[in-house]
Amino acid sequence: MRATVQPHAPSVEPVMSRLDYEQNALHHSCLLVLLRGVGPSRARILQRAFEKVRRVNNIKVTDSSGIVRTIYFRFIHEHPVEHNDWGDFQTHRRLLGLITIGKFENQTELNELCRHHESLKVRYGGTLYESRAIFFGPDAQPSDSIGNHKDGITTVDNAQADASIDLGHKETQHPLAAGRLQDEFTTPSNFKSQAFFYREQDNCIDLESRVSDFLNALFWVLESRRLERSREKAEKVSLLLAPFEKRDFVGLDMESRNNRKRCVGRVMKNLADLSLQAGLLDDALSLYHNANETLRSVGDSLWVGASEEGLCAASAVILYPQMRTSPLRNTPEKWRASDATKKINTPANCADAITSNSSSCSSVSSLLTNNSSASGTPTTSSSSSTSTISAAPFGHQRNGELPGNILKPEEITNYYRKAIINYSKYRHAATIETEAALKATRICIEQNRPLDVAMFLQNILYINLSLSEAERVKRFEIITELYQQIGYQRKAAFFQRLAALKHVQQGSQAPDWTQSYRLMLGSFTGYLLSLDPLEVLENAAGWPALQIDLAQNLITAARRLGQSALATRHMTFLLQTQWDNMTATEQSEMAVQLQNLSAQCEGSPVPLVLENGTVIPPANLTDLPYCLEMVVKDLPTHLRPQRIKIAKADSGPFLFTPIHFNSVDRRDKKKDKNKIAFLWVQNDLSEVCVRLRNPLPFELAVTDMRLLSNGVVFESLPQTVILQPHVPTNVSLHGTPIETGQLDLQGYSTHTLGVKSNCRLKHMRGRHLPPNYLVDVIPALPRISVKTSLPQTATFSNMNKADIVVTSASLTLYNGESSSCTITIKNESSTLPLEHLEVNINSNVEQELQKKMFRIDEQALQAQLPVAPQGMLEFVVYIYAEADFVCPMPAGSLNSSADYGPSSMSHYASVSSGHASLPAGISSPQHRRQDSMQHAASRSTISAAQHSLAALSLQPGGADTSSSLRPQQLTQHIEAQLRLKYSGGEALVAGYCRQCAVSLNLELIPSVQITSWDVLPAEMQFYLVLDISNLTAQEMSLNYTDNKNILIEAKESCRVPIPVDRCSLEQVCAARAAEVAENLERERVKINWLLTGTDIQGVASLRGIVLSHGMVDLTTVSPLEWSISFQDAPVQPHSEIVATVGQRAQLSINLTNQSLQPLKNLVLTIKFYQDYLNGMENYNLETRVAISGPNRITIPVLEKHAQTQHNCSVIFFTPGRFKTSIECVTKPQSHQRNSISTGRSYPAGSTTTSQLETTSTSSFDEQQAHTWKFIPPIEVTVVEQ
Amino acid sequence: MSTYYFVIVGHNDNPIYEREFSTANKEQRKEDQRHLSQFIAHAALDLVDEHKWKTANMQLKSIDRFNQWFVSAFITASQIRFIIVHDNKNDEGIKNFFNEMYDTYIKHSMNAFYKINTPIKSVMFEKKSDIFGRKYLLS
Repeated sequence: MRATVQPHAPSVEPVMSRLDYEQNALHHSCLLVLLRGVGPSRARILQRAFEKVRRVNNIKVTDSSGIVRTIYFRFIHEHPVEHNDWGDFQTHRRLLGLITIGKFENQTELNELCRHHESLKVRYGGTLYESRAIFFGPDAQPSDSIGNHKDGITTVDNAQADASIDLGHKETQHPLAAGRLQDEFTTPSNFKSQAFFYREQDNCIDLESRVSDFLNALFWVLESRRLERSREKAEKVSLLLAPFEKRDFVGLDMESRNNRKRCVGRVMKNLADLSLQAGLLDDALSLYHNANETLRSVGDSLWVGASEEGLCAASAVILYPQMRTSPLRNTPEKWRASDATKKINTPANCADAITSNSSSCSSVSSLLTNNSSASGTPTTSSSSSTSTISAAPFGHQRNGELPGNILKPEEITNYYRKAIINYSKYRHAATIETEAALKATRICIEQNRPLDVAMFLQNILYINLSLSEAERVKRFEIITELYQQIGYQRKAAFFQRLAALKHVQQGSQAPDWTQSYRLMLGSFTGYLLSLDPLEVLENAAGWPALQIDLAQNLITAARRLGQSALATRHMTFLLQTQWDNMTATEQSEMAVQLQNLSAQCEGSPVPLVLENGTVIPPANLTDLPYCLEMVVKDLPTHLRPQRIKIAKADSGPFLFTPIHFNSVDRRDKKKDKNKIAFLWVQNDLSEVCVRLRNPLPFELAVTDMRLLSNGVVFESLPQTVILQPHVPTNVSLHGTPIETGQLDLQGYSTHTLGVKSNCRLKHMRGRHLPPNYLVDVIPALPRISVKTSLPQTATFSNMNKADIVVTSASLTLYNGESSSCTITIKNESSTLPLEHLEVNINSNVEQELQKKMFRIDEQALQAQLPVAPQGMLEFVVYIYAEADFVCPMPAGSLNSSADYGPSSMSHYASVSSGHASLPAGISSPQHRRQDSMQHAASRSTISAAQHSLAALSLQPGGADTSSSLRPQQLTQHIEAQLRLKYSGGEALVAGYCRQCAVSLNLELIPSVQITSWDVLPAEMQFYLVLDISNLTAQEMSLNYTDNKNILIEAKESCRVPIPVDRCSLEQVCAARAAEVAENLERERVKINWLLTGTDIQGVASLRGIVLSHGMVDLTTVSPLEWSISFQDAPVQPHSEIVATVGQRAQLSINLTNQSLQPLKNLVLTIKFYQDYLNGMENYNLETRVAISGPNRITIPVLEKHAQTQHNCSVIFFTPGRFKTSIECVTKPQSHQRNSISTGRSYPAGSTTTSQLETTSTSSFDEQQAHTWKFIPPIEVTVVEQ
Repeated sequence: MSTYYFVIVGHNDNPIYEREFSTANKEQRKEDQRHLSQFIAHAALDLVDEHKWKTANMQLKSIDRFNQWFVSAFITASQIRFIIVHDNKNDEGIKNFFNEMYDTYIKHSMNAFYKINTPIKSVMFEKKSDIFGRKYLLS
């Protein structure tokens, strides 16, 4: 039968033109009222009225049997007239009431409003029961109420007046008519409806009650219809038809049994609909069941479907009253959360569904607000309207039990499914089918059955429905919304995207890019995208290909909308988030696209706010260019701040300890990796080096690169670079901290591809970069520039700390020459004074030597401080070319000469004897040389008993040595740094300074060299004999005493005797012999040299000359004064003494201690010998001479200035020449006595050695033997009698 | 003419392997088609996630459709989702294909150098999927 229906259908076009996507099952029980704004729209004003009206969506009515029924109303704004045609099929589709709301200013406008109202009435006249108009007029004119002083009261009066009116404008005879609108304005005569007038600012207190009255009226009409219908005789009922069915039944026998049944069934279904609307749920349920059975038996599928849907609706009204108040408000999250509970609760629900009222609500609803949970206990709850809904129909009758014939929750889905299948048999019922599917979906959402939701929603797509494009889009959107409600974000996103594409699909006359854009943006979550690129990168989830596609569509939409800023932003977003998911070509294409987009509107890192309030967070091209490394640079070394006083490192009792006393701190420091170890200085240009790589295949220009910082105010200098493809490039970013404190370097900003980006380190992924760098900025320090009076060096020094050198000076000096260098310091700072200046010298020579070479007048320097800004300071560095003038000698010889032990007594004896043998006069240089050679030889060989022979043999060798030593005296390079520590201003208070250095390069050229030396005795003086070589290439004039000069040719040497006064033993014995000798000689011997023809002059020092012990004795005045008389005649030196053989001769020796010290343990020895003058001396003269008394006399102590005398007689047995050697020897004391003697205080003498040194050297002096001889020896010529 | 779009989806909805099998000529295949398949597969993930808890089977059968396209799914023990978007019914073939691919996938994931949830780049895997695709889907 149905097959015959369909072919006819298209010509009729009875299909509902528009889908009602918002409908849910509960709307079956509502009375439909059209609420319409008329006249020129003044939305803001009327909105209040709309809301007030809409709030009255249900009324309670007590019917004749005393049962309270709750009647619901549904207000809609649009209602296609043809929908009324379906009113027989489903009564809730019929429009029953009309309320218009309008605003007028004058009579003409009021007339217009009335006309509108009337025309609507006519339009829906077929179904309309009643209508009302609500008019808002202008506020009361002040001129109208001249008598009234208080306007406010007037208005209130009006309102009260209105409230007291029962029948609106028709009762014009009301006492307070003067202020009433309806008196000022009159409705046209053809306006037959009831109207309520209000002032614009009126509170409309009575509006609700008036609307309520109106709704009551509607109900009663409906109730009468229902009763009418219920009283109809079964035999007489006419066939109710759906609009498209009209032709189907033409010519059919309406009186057939089948058709009769059909008629009855349909009427029953109709009555059920009315009962449902009238609040008689039990009746409705049973009627639906009956109708369903009846209709099924005649195979009236369409109406079977309708009755099944009705059943579902009636059951839903009872089971899910909360759907009315909060239609599907439950959020997906909550929904998901209840998933687990649902699984547990569902079986219980099924079992108790019928008997227990509380289980009628799904677990979701029980999780809902108080309202719905209160509905579980209907007997106790009468406070909220919702609870009374569920309570009213059955609560008082059945004590909370549900009607027996209600559908169980899980049955509802099945019934809907069946209904939909039935509907689907009719092509023209497609709208009904779609709506049923949507209603079913909403019920399933309420029931928490996502798979059923998906099933119903999927089915909607396959319903063959001829729709306009706009409707189609709407359908997708509603599907999206429903999927979102069950938390199917991906499904929702799919349909949202489809809707977005439909809005702008090709061939569309009016592509709506705004909607498209909105929907695209909405589908972000479904594709696991977020508007914030950082979040996207963080999550790194989703389907890249789809995300890219979506972003591109979004960009297109934004571009078409003319929102260049948005387009640029989204393109930046795309590049930033999907970079890794794109191929190289895509990357460069996108980059070019971005460049084109940003040409229209430059991108910048600020949030964009859309009209609907959506905030698009900034997108930054953090990795374009790709930052490989960021290094915070220290200041240049010479500008680096450092502590003036270096805090002492905490020292335990050990220099090194494995125990870390402050290990906690240290660990903390390690953790704080981003903390920079060095300091930056306020107002000093600082640098950060960034290594960038351009990942694009074309040149990338990055302009306006600056450092991003936090904390201290920091002035960044812009930098522009052009990066070649794929080549890492180093870029230096500069800036100046303006304040002191901690500077937080967070990254840098760029401007590339037309987009400004803030590239923060913390957002750079996949690299080991800290989130930021923290640099401490200290107060500003002054800067100085340094100049010297000397020329700069060509080469730079390689001393340590060479990097702090700011300038250099070079100087060439001959050894012993003096010079000076003036250093000029300028304070470059424009504000800060130079308050602190510390100068010290560092060089590659020893500290002692360095002190001699460089001298600075520290006091004069400090006197010049402080230096005002831009001021100058000058000081002089005195330089003396200190060098070793003595020819270096082999180490072994030094040792031997230092060996003063008793074992070498013989050596000294021989040496001294050697000296003694020397004639006092200095005759020839040759002789002197020989002597020196002898001396050298004796120094080098201890066992030189036959020293003269040895000297002879060694003479050539000695000469060789001296010549071979010469080349060793080479030019000497000395590098020194004059280090300047300076500070000023606040930084000085904080304890910081800067250090710079002047590099001094000294070249020391050899000038004079002492190749060998000796000491010769003289009467009151002694001669220091030096062999001096001129190592320069010029003739040299050597001044060696006050008035003696000698010229030495270049590369020549000569021997100079320098007479030196002897000094007392006390002066010598205070120090070690060698050192003393050196000191003394330096003091008294001045060797000045002058290169003739130039003004180059200098002094040669004798440092390094080591005198042997015997030589030292020569340099000192003897402490003993000899006074010898022979035959009572005092002995004169070199005098001839004659004695006779066999006769006694008296020898008297008188010793006086001239020194300040007592002399102890003296042994006086008298020896006679014969000198053969060939080097042989014969001491065995027992047969030739005899002495009375001992020839060795011990003198235990000789106090100072004390005298001692020894007399003896001598008898010569044979004639000849005899010599007498008279000498006095101090014997070394025992150690114990020595230690006692150390307690003795020696006078300091002229030496500057310290007390400690004195005592040690004195003991040393006591220890050694001294020999004092009476020289020359007495010569006695013995003659025969 | 039949086309199959096979994709393995990781835990973060990220595709880790994609492959298309088609009897049609290459010219006939459009990029759009592939794109749409991707979208359909992605949208079906919600249903896959719903179904996977409702059954003990790894084979989720045909769980979704859009216009002429069906979506069949398979879920591994480690919750990796295999999805095929196809335009003609071939339950048996798809079932076999899934089983074979599961086998292949397990073997591949045993590789110590393969990190789960990351794209599969293996010639062997490619070859195997080719063989099974031809054997079960296109035959």
